[in-house]
Formats: sequence, structure tokens, C-alpha cells
Amino acid sequence: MSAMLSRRNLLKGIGALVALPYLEGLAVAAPATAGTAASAGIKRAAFLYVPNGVHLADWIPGKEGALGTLPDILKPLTDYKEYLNVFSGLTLDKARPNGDGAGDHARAMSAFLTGRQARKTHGADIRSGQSADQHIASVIGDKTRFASLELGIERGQQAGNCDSGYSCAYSSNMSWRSENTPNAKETDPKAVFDRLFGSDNSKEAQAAKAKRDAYNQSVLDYVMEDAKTLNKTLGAGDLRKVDEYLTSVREVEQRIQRMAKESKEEKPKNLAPDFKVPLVTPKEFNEHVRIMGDLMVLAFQTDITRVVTFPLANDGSNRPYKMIDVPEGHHDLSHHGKSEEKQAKLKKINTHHIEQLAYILGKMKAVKEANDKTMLDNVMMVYGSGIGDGDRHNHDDLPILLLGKGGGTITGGKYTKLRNDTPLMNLYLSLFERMDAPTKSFGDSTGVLKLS
Amino acid sequence: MQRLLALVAIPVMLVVVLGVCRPVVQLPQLQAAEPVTTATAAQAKLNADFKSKMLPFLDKYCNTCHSTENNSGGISLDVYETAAHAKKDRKTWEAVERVIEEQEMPPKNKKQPTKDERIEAVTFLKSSLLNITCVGPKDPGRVTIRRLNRAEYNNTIRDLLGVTDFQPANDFPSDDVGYGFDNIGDVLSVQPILIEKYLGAADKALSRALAKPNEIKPAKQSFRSQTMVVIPRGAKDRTTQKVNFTTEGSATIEKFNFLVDGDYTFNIRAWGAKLSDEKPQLVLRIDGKDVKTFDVEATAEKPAIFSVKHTVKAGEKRISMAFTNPKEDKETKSFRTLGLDQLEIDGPAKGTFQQPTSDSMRLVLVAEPTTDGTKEKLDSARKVISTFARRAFRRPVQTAEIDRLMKLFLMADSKGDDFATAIRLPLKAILVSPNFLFRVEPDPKAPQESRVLNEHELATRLSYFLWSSTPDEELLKLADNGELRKPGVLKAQVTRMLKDWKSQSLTTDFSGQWLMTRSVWGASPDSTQFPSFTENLKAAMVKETEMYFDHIVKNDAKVTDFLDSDYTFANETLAKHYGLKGVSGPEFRKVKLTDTRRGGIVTQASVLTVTSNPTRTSPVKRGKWVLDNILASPPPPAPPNIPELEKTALKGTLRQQMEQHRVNPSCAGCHAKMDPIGFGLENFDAIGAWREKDKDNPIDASGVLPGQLKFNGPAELRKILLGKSDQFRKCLAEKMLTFALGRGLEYYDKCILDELVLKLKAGEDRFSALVLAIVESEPFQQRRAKRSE
Repeated sequence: MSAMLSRRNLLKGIGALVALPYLEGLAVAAPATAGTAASAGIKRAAFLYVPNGVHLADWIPGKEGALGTLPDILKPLTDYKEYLNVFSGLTLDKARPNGDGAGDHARAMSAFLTGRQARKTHGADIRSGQSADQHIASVIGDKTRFASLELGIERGQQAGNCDSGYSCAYSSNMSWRSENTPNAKETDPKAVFDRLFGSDNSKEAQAAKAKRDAYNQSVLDYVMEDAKTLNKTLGAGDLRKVDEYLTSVREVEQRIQRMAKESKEEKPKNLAPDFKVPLVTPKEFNEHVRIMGDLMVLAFQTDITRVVTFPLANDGSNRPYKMIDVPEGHHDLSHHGKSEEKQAKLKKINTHHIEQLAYILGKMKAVKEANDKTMLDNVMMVYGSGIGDGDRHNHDDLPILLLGKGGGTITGGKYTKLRNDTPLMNLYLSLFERMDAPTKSFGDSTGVLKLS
Repeated sequence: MQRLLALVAIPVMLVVVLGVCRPVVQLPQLQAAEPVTTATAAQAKLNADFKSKMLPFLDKYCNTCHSTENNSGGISLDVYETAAHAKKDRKTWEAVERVIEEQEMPPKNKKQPTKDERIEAVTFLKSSLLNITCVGPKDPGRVTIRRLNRAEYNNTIRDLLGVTDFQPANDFPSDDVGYGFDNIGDVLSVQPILIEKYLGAADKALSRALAKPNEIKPAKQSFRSQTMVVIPRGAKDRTTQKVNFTTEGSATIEKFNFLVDGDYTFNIRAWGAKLSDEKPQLVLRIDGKDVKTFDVEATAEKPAIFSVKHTVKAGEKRISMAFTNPKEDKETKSFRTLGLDQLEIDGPAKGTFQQPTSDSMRLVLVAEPTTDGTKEKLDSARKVISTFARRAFRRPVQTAEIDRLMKLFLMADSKGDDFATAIRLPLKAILVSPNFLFRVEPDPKAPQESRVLNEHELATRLSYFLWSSTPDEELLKLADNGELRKPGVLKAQVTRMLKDWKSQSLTTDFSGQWLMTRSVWGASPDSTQFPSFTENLKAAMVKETEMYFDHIVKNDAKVTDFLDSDYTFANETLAKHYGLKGVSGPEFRKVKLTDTRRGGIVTQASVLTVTSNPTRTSPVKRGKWVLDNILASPPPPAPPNIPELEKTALKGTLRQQMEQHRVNPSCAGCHAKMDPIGFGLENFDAIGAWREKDKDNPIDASGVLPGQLKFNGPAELRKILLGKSDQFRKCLAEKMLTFALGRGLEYYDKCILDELVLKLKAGEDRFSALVLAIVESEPFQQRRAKRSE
């Protein structure tokens, strides 16, 4: 609880600074309040995803142990080397066909955080598994206004088939609330900002909001009763859908209650920072990723959530990267057939993605937190792909980075070569412990991966 | 890296599509099941065949691993002793058939069946054990409860509240797609973020719908001659701004907007000179009709006001003041004249008009208290709530439901909200209720039982199929009165609904996903290679396909027009892209195609673009698209692990390289079906423009499809497609049935599909024949409670 208290005080500090430009202003060390100074910073977990594997030759560091000069693709992370752990050998066995035939892209994305075999279906009875972010959210989510936040760049495909007999739900969602319910992501920065902070923070709007919240509460009570009545007349499959509805309504209701409580306790309820959110989604990929990254940092900073998922594209994405002179589609290129030209272009795309990651790390490092550390010291961020080499569609030896020091529980600056076929879920188990959400097993985990 | 297939290939053509063909057993053409003498005889034969053909095969090749004891992969095949038992586990046996046919099983390191053994097993499974007989009652299947998707939510709000240009759901997260469509109950899920969006959208929609139009107050408006059109022009004196007629003429206010019906007073300041004892006449006209004729008696020094009060209907009108009796005395050189310099319109007069209401208010606010009495207030609220709930829930509502909604009204009322504000709370609850957001179809208690949908459920299915929106009053009334299934009514409704503008949703939602025009917006061809691919061209591509589809719907044209035609729709942008002459301007129109390059949908730029890569065409993608979306024969699934391919020196054009690759028998099977179709479309570049050359190599657009179907170029390819119109009918029926039901099709739907094709043909291939056949079919009219699997 002491962490919460210190957070509240910190938020007051931030509240006084809202007029300052974003981050530059906030980067001023917030004074730690007496008695809580010793508290560890708030830990957060974030999961970033890139599609179609990476060009591993320029990704894997030359030797195990302390990181020397970084391989080409990872070079943009040079300034953050002490926060970086590179892994090889991590594997998603459940992204392999295991008798289900084609569909590596859909499986890669849906298994990345679940460690479960997606049921091969175009739509009927979709099933994956609860995802790692949602596991954490289910344990610590009640501490923040939003249990988790799902961000993205690409909307789900609007028509047609996504991947060889798998519903598009598998290749456009990374976060799964339950084994049957994927968590939709937001791709529009304005919508994210408004959702987190409200679009209008004038006094009048705030007063109106209090009334609206009270009304919303009664609306939600009413519809919950409706849903319960419906439950009596519906068959098995339908019940699941109404249950999804019911639990979602409950979550929103609890959020409203939490906010009401916060406002009674004079916790600054709307820290709409002086942040310029674009009215339309940026057209350029890198700008879009950066603004969403800003929002992620902002959501962490204001402690609106502690868990974020953020795929930089849906798996199988065929997006061209014209701005870095790659007019070909990413997926098309990823089947490089060892063509040097194609591999060079893939490397460019991979590097471009890492540059965006570096930008986000920079923002995190600029945020000073209560324990005299930066947000980057406190965060745990996984970055990687569910496919190793796009040409082979393999799901072992995955490119996985862990960023941040987890509140001082993780030492960075090294490359760890794990035995191949080590379940990726083992890494998550160790993150769960650090997020105060330990569990014995998750997905196809075989044990906790020891991090030092 | 284990190299499964020793391929000499460039990998692109293998993997450009997410999904590649694997080798399959080439089967002899399957014969239709032998005519059945009696059901029991057929059963006996099936059992005998199962024992003689299937069981030995299983013993020899499968049961070592797939035994009760070893249960490899969770499958044990030694438990099945009779065909009847096997039939109960259809899913398992479908899988067995697939892995044998695709040579996935037995594993490569185990004993392999001979080619003939495989053929015998697969043939038995396909034509006997898994064969469907279409006799007896049909299984209607079961649709999982459907949440309104984004398009449906927008349209429903539009029709329910009468608000236009308002698409709140555009800000919702994307709906997931299953079976190629985004209206599939199973994949439409709900998350907290959606509930938040629903709350917000309901607020916005209601405040938009219930916003009072600006109140109208009586007012005076004056017009000087500056704002009048005067004929003859010379009558207007530019310096004094007075109008002096000596000849016949008029001064006109071209447009005056009367806001409401009511009495208006017109005051004209005028003067004149009489001649031969006759006073000048001033006629006031509204929209050309005489309102009043004044005899003017006043001098220019002392003009008088000539007034008339007149009842006018709301709207823009033309008001003119005319001089109708000019006269000249040639001897004295004197004239009868009329002068004027001002018109004042005063109104509407108090008590002669009512405050206007918007369409939305008329639809929603069906009652409003006029006094402060509590009873009237409650009665009004009840009326508004019950009317709205019936429309929103698409069914009659129960008193108990209204009572609960009334509590919300009372709560807001007790907090001091006025009626128009307080009523929003129960209406908002309705818009967030699962009864509104889901299309509810309760299940019968007995799990296996099918039931015929009630008429409100049927009306709802109908309107979401054809309009992606809520049933209108006509449908609801028919359902209320139990008349929807009366002879001829359903057909008449289908005809009416297809003609209605709201059926445009079939174009944007059904066709937009079937033909993938929705994906054109996200296409990103390389701008260096294709500088002409502008937003304008993109929009034109989409528009062409949309208009083409809409044309077939609205004119009830033949569905075979999708395969080939001598017309399309174009504007100047698209015509330029296509090289069509004589089309100018931004408007689209029907254009006759004078050469044979294009026709039907396969050669439209939208389709050609979404099946290309950013920098080049993809014959494989195009071929696969046609197999998937036109011929109902999607290529078999891809091998589980795409082998790492060796880069060797393949020579020549993309086509030549692909042909060298197809020499490999492992790839040939499926690519023989896909690639030639793509080759036939190679005259179209990655954005669908015509080309004779790819870089420096001339295009070879010839091909041979299985069955020795030779063709050269897109025109001949389309002829071949036309020759396969039964396959196309089946394909269209499959897609449309999926869209109409909101579920994937199952094996038992095969019988329905056969019927749909027959009915479509019997209906001369008219679009409406297919729609009606679907609407009348068992899966559309009924539902089963539990899945049979």
C-alpha cells in the first residue's frame, strides 16, 4: 500500500506541472515524500511485437555475456545497453503446426503471449488462451483505473481471409482476456488519449462528468440485469457471449466506482497533461508508433495502467516501408529465399522498428520516478516476434529482447544464449513474479526462467 | 534445416500467399453415390465397405499409434467398429480423410500405403462415409448470438434515431473477421473498451437526435432594392437606389426562406403616377402566383406602404413585385409609372405557426407533457420509452421491462432534469442493453430441437441481411400481425427491400468483403513505380466495383454478369486508367466496353490491386483469389513447415521462373490450378492498368487449366470462367449464405447450397432469386439449440 500512497503524492506533484510541456516538464524530479522514499518504483510490464520474424544474422550478438558492440539491427539501442537483455533459444512450441497445417502467422501472434495452440477455425469456437498481460492485469489490475491497455498500429483486416484457415481474430489480436475473447486494440491516438484523460477537462466538463458517471452507473446496473435475464433463455454458445458482455460491464462499472473513490480521496482524477495529440492518425509509420509510444509512457507515468500490449503490426503484415526506401511488402520480403537484396531490405525494416523502440526507451528514461529512478529502471518490456526467420516460419530460437530493470531486479547489458526450445512462457513466469502476480505455470511453460 | 522437399525454386511464388499447396493424391473423378434402393440396404453396404475397405487400412497404417492405448495426438481409431459409430464423429473422420489425401499421414518415417490404397481409402471416405444425403429434414444449424458490428451499429442508430451523417461506430475497435466477413457471431466479442464506447456513442447519438431545432420568433426583415433583381435593368437608379418603372417590369427577391408555415405580412413602400385616370398597379407574387394587386396612389416625395397578410408554407420562395399596367401618352410624352424601394416581410405572426421539430424528435419524442402535471409527465415518459424500446429491441416489449426503464426516468427526474433531458437516461440504457446490442434468438429448452424463428426474429434477420440495419416499421408491423410468412409477403418484402436505398449495405458490407473492395483503401502500391495511384484513383476503383455490384442488385440483373460483361462504370479518372475514350468529368456512368480486355469483376482494377504486392503483380495471389471467391474451390491447405528454399539461378521472366518451379511435381498439383489464372491476368499491372510488357519482356497471358482448358489472355480466361458458372453460382451462394447467417457453413449445409444453386438457375440467374432462396431456406428460417459436433 505504501507504493500506492507514494504514487498518489507523486501524482499531486505532476498535477501541479500539467501546464508545462509534456515530458520535458515532467522530467523534473518529483520530490519523494518523506516516509515513502524507500518505496520501490511501480513496476510495469509492456509487450511489444513485430511481425514476420527478423534478419537474425544482424540481430544476434557475437558472443554470450556482456554486450559489446551491438549487432547492426540493435545498434539504435546502444545508449540503452545497460537496460537491454538479448535472448536466443526461446521458443513458441504452440505456434508450430502440431498437426494443424499452415497458418504460422496467425499462430505466432496468438501464441506469443498465451503459449497456447490456437484452435484452427475460421470463426466458430475461437480459442487461444489468456495472455500474459491479462494474467498480470487480472491480479494487479484493480490498482489502476485501467487494468490494461491495448495499443496497436494496424487495424484488423476488414475483409477476406487472414491466414490459412485461421480467423482474423488470431492474427490481429495479441491480448486475450480469456481463452475465447481477444482484446481489441486501439490504433487511433486521439481515441486513446480521450479514453485515458477525457477530451475536455474544463471545470464545467468535470462537473458534468460526475453526473454522467452517476448516470452511467445506473445504466450499467440496468443492463446487467438485462443480461442476467437473457442468460435464462439462451443456449450454450450464446451464454459465453453474454458473459463476455456481463464481465465487461462489470469492469467498466468498477472503474467508474474507483474513479469516484479517487476523486473523494482527492487523488487528481484527470491529469490531462499538456500533450498534443494529433486529431488524425499519422500517416507515416514511425510517427504513428512514436505517438502511441508516447501514450504508453504517459499512461504508465500517470499510473492509469501498469500493463500494456503494443504490436507494431499484425503478423503477416505486408506493409511497405517507403520512407526507408523499402517499397516492397514486409511479408513478401520476409520470404527472402536467401536473396541478399531482400535480406538487406528486411534488415532495414527491422532496424527501423528498433529505432522506434529506442525512441520509446528514451522517453522512459526521461521520466523520473518516486524512487529516484527513471521509468526505464522500473519497467519490464518484452520486444520480439513469434517467428524466428520469416523465410522458414520457424518458431524456435526467437528474437526476444527484454528491456528495463524491473525495479532493480534485472541486470541488463547481456546476451543470454538459452537452450533452444526453452518456452518463451518461462520468461513471462519470471516477469509475473516481479509484477507480484506469480503463478506456477502458464501456457506451455516448464519453469521460471532465472533472470539476474 | 531439414529439407522436406528438394526444390529447385524461387520461394516467392510458393509463399506469397499465406498458405501454400501441398501435394495431394490425385483422385479419379468421384462418381455420385449409387442410387439407394432402401435406406437399410445402403446402411448395410456402408457397413460392409467400412469393414472391408477401411478397417484393414487403419490396422495396417494407423492403429499402431492411434490406438486406445497410445492415443497419439488424442486420436484413437481402433474404437470404431461400425460405420454408424464412425459417422457420429464426423470431425475426426474428416481429419482422417484430409491427412490421408494430403499425404500428411502416416508420418514419412513410417510405413506408407501404396497410391492405390490411398485412393481406395480416400474414395470410400469421401463418397460413402462422409457423403451427405439430402433426404429428410435439414439441419438448420445454429447461429451464435450476434453483436451488432460497426456498420450495423451505425445504420441501426441512423434508422432508429433518424440522425444522418453520424457514424459513431467508426471510432470503435475493428470487428474481427471470420469466414471472410465481419458479422460472424462467433468472432464478434465484447470487451470493456466497447462498453465504454457504447456509453459514449449513446450519449452523442441521443443529444444529436433530441437537440431542439432553433426556436423561431416573429421577426421583420427588410429588403432594399440592392438585393432585388430588377427587370428591365434600367429601372433601377443606381444612385438613389429607387426603382422606377415606366414600362412593364418587376423587382424580385430570388429566394426567401420561410422557416415555418404561418401568416406573414408583406409591406411594400411604393409610389406612382396615374395616367388616363388609371392608377398604376402593383402585383405581389409568390412563386409566380398573384397574392394581391394594389392600386398605388402616392407620390415619390411621400411614398405609402402597401400591406397584405398572407399564409405561406415553409420553404424557399421567390417573391416579386410587378408593374402590370404601363401606359404612355405619346402626345403629352407622359407615362403611367410605378416606383418602389423597399419590401419588408414581417412574420410569422404570433399564433399562426408552430415551432418546428426534427425528424429525430418526431421519431423518438412521440409524447411530451404540455403541462406540469405529474401524471401527464409519467404517461408521456412511458409512451416514449415503450415506443423506443419496441423499435430498439425489434420485438414487443413487456410491461416489466418498461417498468424498469421508468425507474431510470424517475431517477433523472428526481434530480431536477427537465423532461427532454430525463428521458435520455432510459433511452441510453436501451442503447446499451444486450437486447439492443445483440440480436437475441432464445433457444428451445430441449437441446437437439430445432425451432422455426418467430416473425420478429425473422424480420430482424431479413433487415440485417439486406440493410445491415434494424427492421423498419413495415417489417415490424407485419411481424406484430403475424403476416410475414403469409403467401407472397416474404417475396414482396425482399423485392421492396432490395429496391430500397438501404440495400446499399449489401454493396458496402457484403460485396465490400466478398470482392475485398474494402481492402483497396489499405493497399499501398509503390508510389515510384505507380505514380498514378492517387487517392482519387483509389476511390474510383472502389466506386467502379461498388456501382457494378449495386447495378446488379438494383436492376436484378443476372449474377453471371459478375463473370463477364460488355459494360462497366467509370469516371474520367478511371477511364484514363483503363484507356477508355470519351469519358470526362468526375461523375460515374455506365460505359460500354468496346474491346475485350475487361468485363465482369475479375478484371476490375480494385480486385487486381488487392491481389498484388506493392511492387509487382502476384499471379499466385490472383489465381488463389479467383479459386476462393469465384470458383468455390480454394486450393488445399499448405504444408505445415515451408521448407527453406535454395536459391538457384532461375532464368527469364517471373512467369518463366514460375514455370520452372512448377516442373517439381510436389508443387505442380495446386499451382497448376492457381498460376494459369494469374498468368491470364498478367496483362494487368499491380494497379490493374493494361500493359503489353513487363519491364522489357512481352507479356505471355496464355495458360492451360486442368482439363486441358487452354486460353490466351483475359477475354478467353473469362470465357472459361463463364463455362464454370455452376461453380460460380455455388461460390456466390456460399458467400452470401455465410453473410446472411453470420456463421460459417458446415458439412450439412451442402444440401442447402445445392438447392440454392438450383433455385438461382430456375430464377434465370437473377440476383433476387438467390436472395429469396436464402431467405426461404431452413437455416435462415430456423435454428437449432445445440451444435451436433
